[in-house]
Amino acid sequence: MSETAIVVENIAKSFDKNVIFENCSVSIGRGTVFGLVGLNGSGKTTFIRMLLGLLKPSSGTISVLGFDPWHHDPAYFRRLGVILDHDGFAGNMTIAENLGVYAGAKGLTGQKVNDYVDQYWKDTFLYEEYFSPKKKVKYLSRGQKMQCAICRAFLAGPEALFLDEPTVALDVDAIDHFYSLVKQAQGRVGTVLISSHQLSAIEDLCDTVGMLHNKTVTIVKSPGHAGGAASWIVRCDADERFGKIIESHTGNPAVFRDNAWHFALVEPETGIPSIVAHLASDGCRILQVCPEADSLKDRIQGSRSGGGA
Amino acid sequence: MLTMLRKEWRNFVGSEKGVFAVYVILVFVWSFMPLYNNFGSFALGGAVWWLFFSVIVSGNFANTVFVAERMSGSMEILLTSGFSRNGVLFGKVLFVMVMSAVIGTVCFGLSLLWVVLSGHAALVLGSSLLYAVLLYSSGTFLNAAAGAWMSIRLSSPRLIPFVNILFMVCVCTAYYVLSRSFPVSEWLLSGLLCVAGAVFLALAKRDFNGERIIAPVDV
Repeated sequence: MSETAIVVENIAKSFDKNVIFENCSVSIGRGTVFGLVGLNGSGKTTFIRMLLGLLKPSSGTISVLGFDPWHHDPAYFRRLGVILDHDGFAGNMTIAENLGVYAGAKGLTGQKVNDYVDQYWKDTFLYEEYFSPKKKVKYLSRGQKMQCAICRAFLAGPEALFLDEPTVALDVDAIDHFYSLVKQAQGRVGTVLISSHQLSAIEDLCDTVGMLHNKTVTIVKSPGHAGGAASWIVRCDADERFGKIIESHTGNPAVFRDNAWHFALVEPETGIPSIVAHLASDGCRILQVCPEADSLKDRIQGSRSGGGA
Repeated sequence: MLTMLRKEWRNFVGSEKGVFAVYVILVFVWSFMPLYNNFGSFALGGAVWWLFFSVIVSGNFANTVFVAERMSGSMEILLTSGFSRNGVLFGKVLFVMVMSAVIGTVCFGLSLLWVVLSGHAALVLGSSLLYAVLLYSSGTFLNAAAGAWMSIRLSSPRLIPFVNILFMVCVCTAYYVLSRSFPVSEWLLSGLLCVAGAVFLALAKRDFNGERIIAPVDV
């Protein structure tokens, strides 16, 4: 892994008797787009709030960009971009005035903000609204406010971005634009943490995905997974001979459960036809051959019943 | 702190016209209050009116800059944007005090005008005038600081103006009891208000740097 941007070590967090995290550890490298998924109430927002120093872990340590968030050092926050539950804008001000306030906090001049909007937001409603404001922020639509929040988050090229549900209410163009901003941030070796229930966005954008389950973060997707073996299933009889045939082709163990053989396979293009041919020639009645359902949705739903990742 | 002051000012200036109309009417009506009292000099007799005028004005501004900010969720964004937490707190308290001072000055000026026009010009001079100004200022400080703290502590922070009145009554009662028991100066009331304000400011500073600042708020 590249240089580490976020290190969470053995944190615990509870509200009164409600334990949210226990022995939770995770490291996120610079230049990583990290997706955070989990069921409602699993602690995604709490996790982000701890990374932002809004909540203090009951025990354990957090280090982001070398800072302890709970020390509330303004220098730390100047290196971040943040989207939280609410847009956070002053409703009676225009978007230009609002961005000016936050640019001031990050030590940016008005000209720098103009250049940023000109460079990254030219084909959006925000460009027009910024340079020739017609509306106060309170009169913008929900999706427009979210675009403004994204604009604020990416202001000043932050080294780390914490984005809680950033694609809510965005139209397709705005989502594409958001994707391009994330990719550009990653290109600058920025670290992006995205928490979302929109799993398509997580799967499209994130090279690493962590699932909040059982009071900790479990990595369910990482760059290592992508280059490794994929999981497949062959639905047929539970005859041990068939398992041996599969293992001889894959070099990996085959496990029979749920009326199917489950196994990992590196090159399915050549491996699957060969396995099918040998099973058939050995008298196997094959009912189904397919990649194992292994989507984030399955894993998250599996976590509800205690199955986990 | 000054960035926060500017932000609050711009947000206030961008308010709907009705908000300004309410303030104009409030200032105009309240400016006649000193003429209604029969307790002696203009400033001394009208002092209580100024004290409670400060509750109305600064309590309302405290609602806007602290409570509305927390209810809209924008406080979390402010605290994670590169502003120092104390800068956010003190900038907002300063804004409440500046706005109260501006509105109070306008109201005070109008009152002086009515008093002079009514032929009681002699009443507006002397230390009693200074006393009224000091009382208004110290009352404003108490309201702003207590408003900041209660916006974090109360789960229904819209009650701030009412609780501010309660605090004000408590301090006034303490002063009344002291003045009945001991030969204390009338300036002590301002002193008590300032001390109470300083205590609330310290409490607000502590809570601004803790987890309570993002506790849920009843809408």
